[in-house]
Amino acid sequence: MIPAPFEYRRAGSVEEALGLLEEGGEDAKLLAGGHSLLPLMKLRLAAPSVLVDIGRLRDLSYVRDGGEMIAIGALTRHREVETNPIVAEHAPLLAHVAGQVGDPQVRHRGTIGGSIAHGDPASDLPAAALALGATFEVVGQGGAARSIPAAEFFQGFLETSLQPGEILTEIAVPKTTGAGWSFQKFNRRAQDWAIVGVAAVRNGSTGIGLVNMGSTPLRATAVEAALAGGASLEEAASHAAEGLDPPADLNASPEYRAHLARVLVRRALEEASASPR
Amino acid sequence: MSVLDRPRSAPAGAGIGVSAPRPDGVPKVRGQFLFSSDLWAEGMLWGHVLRSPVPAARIRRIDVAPALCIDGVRAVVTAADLPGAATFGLEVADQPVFASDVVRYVGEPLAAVAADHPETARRAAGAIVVDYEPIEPLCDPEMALRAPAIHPDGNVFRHLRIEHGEAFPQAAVVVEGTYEVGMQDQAFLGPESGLAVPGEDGGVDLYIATQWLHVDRDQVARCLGLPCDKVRLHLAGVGGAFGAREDVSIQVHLCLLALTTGRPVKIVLGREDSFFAHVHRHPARIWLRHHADPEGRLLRVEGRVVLDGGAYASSSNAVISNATAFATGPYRVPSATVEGWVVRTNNPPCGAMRGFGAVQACFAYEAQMDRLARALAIDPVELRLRNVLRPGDRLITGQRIDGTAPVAEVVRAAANAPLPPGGPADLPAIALPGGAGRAADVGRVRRGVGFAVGYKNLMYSEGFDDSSEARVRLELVGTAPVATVTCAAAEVGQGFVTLARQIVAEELGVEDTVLAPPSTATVGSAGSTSASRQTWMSGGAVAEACRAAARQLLLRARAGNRVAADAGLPPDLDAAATSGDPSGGVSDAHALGALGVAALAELLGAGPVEASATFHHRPTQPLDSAGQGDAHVSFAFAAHRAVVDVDVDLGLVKVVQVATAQDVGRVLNPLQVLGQVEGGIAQGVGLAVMEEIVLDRGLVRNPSFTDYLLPTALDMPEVTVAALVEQPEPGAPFGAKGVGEPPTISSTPAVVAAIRAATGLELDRVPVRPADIALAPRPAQTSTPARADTPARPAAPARPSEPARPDAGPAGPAGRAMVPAREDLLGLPGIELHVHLEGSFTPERVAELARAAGEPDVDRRVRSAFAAGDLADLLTALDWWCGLVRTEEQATSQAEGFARFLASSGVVYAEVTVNPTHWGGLPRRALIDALAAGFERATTPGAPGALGSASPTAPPAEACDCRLVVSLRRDQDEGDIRRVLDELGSRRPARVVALGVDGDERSAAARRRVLAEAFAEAAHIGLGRTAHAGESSGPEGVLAALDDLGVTRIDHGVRAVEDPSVLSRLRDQRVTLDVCPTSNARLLYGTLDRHPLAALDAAGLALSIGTDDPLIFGVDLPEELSRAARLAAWDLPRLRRCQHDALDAAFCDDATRSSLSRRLAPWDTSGRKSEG
Ligand SMILES: Cc1cc2nc3c(=O)[nH]c(=O)nc-3n(C[C@H](O)[C@H](O)[C@H](O)COP(=O)(O)OP(=O)(O)OC[C@H]3O[C@@H](n4cnc5c(N)ncnc54)[C@H](O)[C@@H]3O)c2cc1C
Repeated sequence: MIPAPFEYRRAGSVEEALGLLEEGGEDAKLLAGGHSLLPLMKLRLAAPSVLVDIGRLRDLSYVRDGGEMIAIGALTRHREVETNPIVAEHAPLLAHVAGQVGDPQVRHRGTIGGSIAHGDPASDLPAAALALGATFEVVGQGGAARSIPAAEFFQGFLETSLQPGEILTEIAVPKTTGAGWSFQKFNRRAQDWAIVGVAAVRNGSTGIGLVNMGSTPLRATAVEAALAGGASLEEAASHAAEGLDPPADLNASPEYRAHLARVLVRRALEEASASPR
Repeated sequence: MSVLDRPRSAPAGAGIGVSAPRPDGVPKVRGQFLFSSDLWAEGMLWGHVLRSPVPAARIRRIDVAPALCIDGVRAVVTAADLPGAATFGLEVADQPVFASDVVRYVGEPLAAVAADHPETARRAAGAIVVDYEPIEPLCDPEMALRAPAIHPDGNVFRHLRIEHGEAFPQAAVVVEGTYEVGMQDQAFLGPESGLAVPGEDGGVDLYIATQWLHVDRDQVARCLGLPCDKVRLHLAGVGGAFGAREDVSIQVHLCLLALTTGRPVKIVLGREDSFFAHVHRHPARIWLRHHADPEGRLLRVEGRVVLDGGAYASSSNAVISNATAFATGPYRVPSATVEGWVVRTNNPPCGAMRGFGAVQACFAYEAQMDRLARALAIDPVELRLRNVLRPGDRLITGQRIDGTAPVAEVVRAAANAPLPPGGPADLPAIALPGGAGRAADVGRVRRGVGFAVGYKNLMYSEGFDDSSEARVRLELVGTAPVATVTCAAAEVGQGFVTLARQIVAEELGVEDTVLAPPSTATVGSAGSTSASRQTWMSGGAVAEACRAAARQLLLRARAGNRVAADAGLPPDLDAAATSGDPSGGVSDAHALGALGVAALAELLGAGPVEASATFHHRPTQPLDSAGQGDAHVSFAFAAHRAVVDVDVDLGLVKVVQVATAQDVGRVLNPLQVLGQVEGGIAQGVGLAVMEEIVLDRGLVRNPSFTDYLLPTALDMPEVTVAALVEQPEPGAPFGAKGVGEPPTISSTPAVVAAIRAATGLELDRVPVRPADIALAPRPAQTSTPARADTPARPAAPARPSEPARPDAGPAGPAGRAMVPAREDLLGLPGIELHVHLEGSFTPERVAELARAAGEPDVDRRVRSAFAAGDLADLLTALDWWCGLVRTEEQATSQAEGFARFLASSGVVYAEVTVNPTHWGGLPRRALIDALAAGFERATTPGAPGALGSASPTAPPAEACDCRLVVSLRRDQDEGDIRRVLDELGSRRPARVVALGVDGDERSAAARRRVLAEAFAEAAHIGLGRTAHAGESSGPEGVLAALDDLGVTRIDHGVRAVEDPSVLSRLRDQRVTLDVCPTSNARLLYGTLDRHPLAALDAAGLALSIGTDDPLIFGVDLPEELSRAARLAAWDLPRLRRCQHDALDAAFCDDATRSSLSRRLAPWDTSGRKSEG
């Protein structure tokens, strides 16, 4: 439970962070809230040689109303996302999901950017970002910026399309003001990680994100397609696990996960289709 | 009402009965309490233990050189470095301190390293090279009984057999089940840790978190080859124990490293190592069979308990003794045979955990009591009350309960506690299963209530004298009297530190008490902090030491320079002091206490007094070879009633409330009792729904609190203490019983009973996992939407006389249980006892056989045969077509086809009647053997036979296990009947399980003697007995079958309804009627509406449903069941009882019965159908 030795550098600005990353090379890692990275390091599943701490970059912690969308700085803590009135009004699903992450301690330390960048299929916020069709703003070496749609971001287990030396700066979330939404988080023990989770938003079209149903955060594309093709909610929900390869672990077999996905997607769709909250 | 606001009989001051606060409470909450992991010494080294990653291997070589090369490493020790004994153990020293030639479990220590830094020590341990030659691990406890020994001491740690009472009269009802308990962990929060400091005398001081200093000391000294006084153990702050600190873990390693390096050495295990370093609760597999009379009074219990002890003995021998002796629960059981085994495997060693064998037993016997209640339709609480132990009763070990036993009281109090108001629909979303995740759908949440009661011994048993010593010193500090209590009782959270002070205050009136640090260097053994014993044993020792000190003071008062009056002593006290009567101790102490502090200070002015006492409980005896003996000191009882909400689609359980009542003898500290009650329930709930060490070939898969699920505060139910029953226990100091373990024992079965009530599932294993509920086969769900993954079953076989479908249409009034339709019953594992092979012919098959036999006019004869209008006609038709079977292969394929037909309709077990007199074309024995061969063939995969009704899209049906009932014909020749019995007696043909009789019952009277003799002979040769009666004969026919033939079931028997006295006979003797509604409608009553099924049901009879001649009547079992349901307005749970009745009445062996029972288990829906 003691991590391997590493060098620690604190960045005072995004530019400095980019510089430190370049300096640190292949084995450098950004440290935000540390609530995903440090557990990995303690288990020695990660052993970065340099940690570049961006936890104090205040200017990456914000929520702004950007007209069609809201912009959330990558270093915004879960607790801020949970309680911010702009998020509550224009992306209520996201606010709710942020409030479901771990326990209060975790929510006061962990950041939305860290959660997205970590790319953990068991995390809640990536599924919400997928359901909402969010876009991730990234800067790279030399200040080169690019936007990556959530649907293209998650590549493999703990693997994203972020390149070494890049920093996720902002999560842009299309407004879903007044839309129906639902988040179903299934766990056996209070405040635990989801064994399976479903985030859904119905805003004309329907977006559905799945937690822990494969090696990455996933969109329930088969369900979305069925709905688009005019299927009933029940019928569409029956496609929830279609084409997926849910993980087997001590908490659930793949069959049980598939069952849970079907039940939870149906419930999520029903809740999201009921009169908006 | 909580225990805290219970009015109390005015306890005064800081003495017995008040909620004195724990002295360590606030420091623990504030993080100021020093746990063993906080120990520190100047210049200390850090130790790390290398553990085996494999469950079983021979060790070819251990090379420690690479570790010694690492900078900062000060010592590496292995078995070769042990100066003393190589092994340790609580009861049997069979466990190596370090494995040297063989490893027997994952986590077994191989070497220990001391280094300057914990990380260096860890790395060095990793550098040690161990060359293993793997051995196939023995992980299955049942296998261990047969497998070659994996240890020189063998694989069976202990086997006991309890034989109690006389043979029992015929029981009205028998229920049985096999139950499993997973491996629970004590899950204390403070990992194993300690600090060893080498002494100048060549000895060592070890500061350690443990439950029993002295027994650790003895084992450590033995392994170090030191005399006991050179090894001094001191209690360090204990972060929870629950049994896991009763065994030696790192003690020897620490001391050996300290002695080797000459420096203090500290070890703190990480969480993962901790899971590998301590024993766990024994996983159990328990089979029980209960026999009871019609009122539900237990007549006899049979049982078999197998515990997995893991690789080494630990306290297995005592745990199995409890699990076996308490296997029948706190009930009067006049006759019992219970066998217990605890075996060695390559799984982690198992030993003590709160409840100690009683927990596993209680899960099994309470499930049985519920089963019995259901079988008899008696309220479960009422059933328990009819059986509870009372003072003076004998246990199955022959021991009489001499003390208190308020079992009925705790049962009643827990049962009568107020239920939580409202239902799931009244709760906020966060209070539903799954909590804040809001995954529950309140429309799919079912509430269930379950009840359980349990008991356990207090103190050590079977002849062990676990005495406790305490010393009390009274002196003046300034002007105030202060008591110092020296006792080695380990405070592990139970509150001895509070009670010791309360006892001193009670006895001596002294409120300022200092507890000396527990240590082997200053006082004798206090025994273990386990078996709910410290309050009784060490509390008793402190009380006696107080009394001895009081006596000294009073003698001082008498002998001293002041007369009693001057000292303010009352005259009677003076007299007591003068008498010097040692038995006056109690009143001395009380009198002294009454004196007040001022007089005490006065007496102490002359100097301190000090007194010691050793407290022994009354002697006990080991169990003898029949498991009999006064093995236990005392018993404590508790009852729990649990209320749960279950989201049946997700499988999530929320325990809403646990109400409890406990037998405590006397409440010494209400707050601490409540702490024990709540903590015990938390562990009980944990075992019920989440806590389990998952093993994979001996490897703990979840050695962390991320993966080993412990209930959090949010997962805990509301705890309602309905009563703490105070009946002072004779022989117990202050009349108080131990309170630590009982809360854990029956809370688990109560929660599972509640889940069963909510889901209708059998759930015979804990913990109950969500998938056990959500994925349990649930045939009724086929009618709920969004289950496209459930393939549709084929329609009912369309046969000549397809009757009108009962209009069981979708739903009755909302909320009312709906009558299940055939579709709802597909997938049900069917059990059918009344079906004839003679009725297995389709018109096509008869035509085919007739043509093969060269019969004329085939089509017309087939048509008229199948149009048989009454029973006599039918019997004639049967004779014809059965007679067409002329070759063994024809018979075999007939049987095979029929078995496949049964399987395709979901029947998994059938007792098929064959009456050889109909089958004129083949000799009897050849016929029976050929039929058995056909049944055998049908158990292998293959195309549906000639009778197969399954459509090509049908999923492959599970095979049907068909047995044969050889039936006599009522008018069969006497000599022929004898030959049948001779044949069955000389060589039992395969698959034959019973003798039956059928044919025209009107000829019954003349055949009484002949048939009676035949049936007596059948019983003699071990065949089951059944008879057709009450179909073409009236109630008198039923009576004759009972009286003359001794049958345990009756085929049809429906006309018993005409005579209430016959109905009561059937009910009281628990004879099962195998009823075939469609057949009766066709041949007896004309229409289904006139069938008396509802009346038979109302009479309380055991009823199974059969098809009689399915291919003739065009029904299959699901169809027949659905018709029965419509007839008698039965819901699914009631239908399910028919299947259980059938199973109970089946003539199969126990193994088959219990495996069928397990298969039936998931089949229930408890009203879920109304959701549609
Ligand atoms: C006890 C516990 C319970 C938890 N329960 C839950 C739960 O129920 N649901 C849930 O979703 N999560 C849960 N988490 C995880 C939590 O949400 C984490 O905070 C979050 O996943 C990671 O955010 P972080 O800021 O801590 O990132 P860090 O741990 O600091 O970083 C995570 C990864 O992202 C990278 N990274 C961080 N920021 C950036 C950036 N701006 N640009 C590029 N890369 C970056 C890091 O280099 C690292 O690889 C739990 C964590 C703990 C410790």
